[in-house]
Amino acid sequence: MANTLTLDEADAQEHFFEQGWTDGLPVVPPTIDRVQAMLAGGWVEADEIIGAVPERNKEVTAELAAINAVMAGCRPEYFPFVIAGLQAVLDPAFNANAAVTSTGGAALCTIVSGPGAAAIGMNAKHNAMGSGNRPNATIGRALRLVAANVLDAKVGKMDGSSFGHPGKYSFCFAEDVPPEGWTTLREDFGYELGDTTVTVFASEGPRQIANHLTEDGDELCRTIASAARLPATFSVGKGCQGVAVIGPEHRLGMVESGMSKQDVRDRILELSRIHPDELAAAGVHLEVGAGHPMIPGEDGLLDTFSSPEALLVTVAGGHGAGWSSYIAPWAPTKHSRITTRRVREEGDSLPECGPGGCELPADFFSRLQTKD
Amino acid sequence: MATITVYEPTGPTIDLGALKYATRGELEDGLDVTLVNNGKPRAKELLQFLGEELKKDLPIRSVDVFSKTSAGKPLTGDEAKVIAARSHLVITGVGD
Repeated sequence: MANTLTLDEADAQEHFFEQGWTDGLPVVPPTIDRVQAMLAGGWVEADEIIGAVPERNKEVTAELAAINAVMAGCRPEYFPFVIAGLQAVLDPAFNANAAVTSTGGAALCTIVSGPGAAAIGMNAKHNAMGSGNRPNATIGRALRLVAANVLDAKVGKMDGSSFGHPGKYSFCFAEDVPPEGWTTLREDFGYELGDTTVTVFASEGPRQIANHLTEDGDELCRTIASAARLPATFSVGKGCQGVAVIGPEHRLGMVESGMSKQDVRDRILELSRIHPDELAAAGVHLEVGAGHPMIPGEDGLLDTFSSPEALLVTVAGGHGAGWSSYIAPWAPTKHSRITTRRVREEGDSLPECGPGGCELPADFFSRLQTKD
Repeated sequence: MATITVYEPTGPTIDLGALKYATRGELEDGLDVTLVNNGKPRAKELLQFLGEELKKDLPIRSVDVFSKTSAGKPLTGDEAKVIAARSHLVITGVGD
């Protein structure tokens, strides 16, 4: 059980700042009543284990998750989403040990797909990646607070981010309803349309994609690919994953150009390959004899993405002049993979997770969403 | 003044118990040393240089550099066993 302490109510906020338990913003004091209500919202017992990071001898209990979710400002009905997000972060394929520590400074980018997102009032439209929506802001913040407080991912301890970025406070949004004929993110991962899933991605901040003057699907893919193949990005030419979030005008243009979601993904994938000369022109050297063998294909180009499935295509954003977003990875796929978990419903059991990793029921692995 | 009772948000580190040191024995022919390369660019060259420098000051018979496949992941158990079997001394570190 977590330790408790009794504080003068007026001093509680300052005490949490002094202990280094916040992300720099005020938190909701995790009183016993609030934490019990959070646990009830997730249908879990306090001592149930959500997952572990064996490399640093740390495990995340439901109680610790609930404490940090209260501090983040979550309502109890958000807690199943926080649990699913933490289970995804603690999947060994995500490699939380490195993702929350690296000098590259990754966000725990969190994408919620499914009817549950709307049910708790998540935002998938205008300013979906920005401020102003409580579940978007607090679910993402809860994951980060757990990383900081439970996994010690703090500057001076186990967060070596050279710069970091604002997404490290919170980076969580919902997927919008895709155009007819396009699949949802959860379906892409093999879940049912009626399921709700949480996908996590160790990422840079989002790159806004502007193209206001064309409705041509191929031109729009070119614009997005130009953001995905920036030579200054660590993972370009090394085989990574990425997320293209297509805005309303752009996806309309793509659909009216006859492009399926698969067509969009394949075209961006193709256009994102890069010649070593382009990297050299930007002053970027090829890694030789190191962990990332940058060996061009027969056509002389390096792959930016590690496999055809490595680029996720999803939809969000509000109507405007014609915007989309590309979310670049923190590192190549060999270091960290996008992971997904289904949001449990009342009556569903919590998959078992022990300190040796996520010791999940055998049938759970068939739903584990890392395809490459 | 009103008081509230709150939880601390930090978790314990799992106690793995006492660690056992490797057996110390007599060396007749010098040390076989393995330096673990984290896979970052130029790390291998740096470690090879350091290995040569160590040879000048210590009774070292051989220096080997083992390269990890990912800087973001620890050695596997099998890799660690192979290294332990062939080395008297293993040196690792963290760096960019």
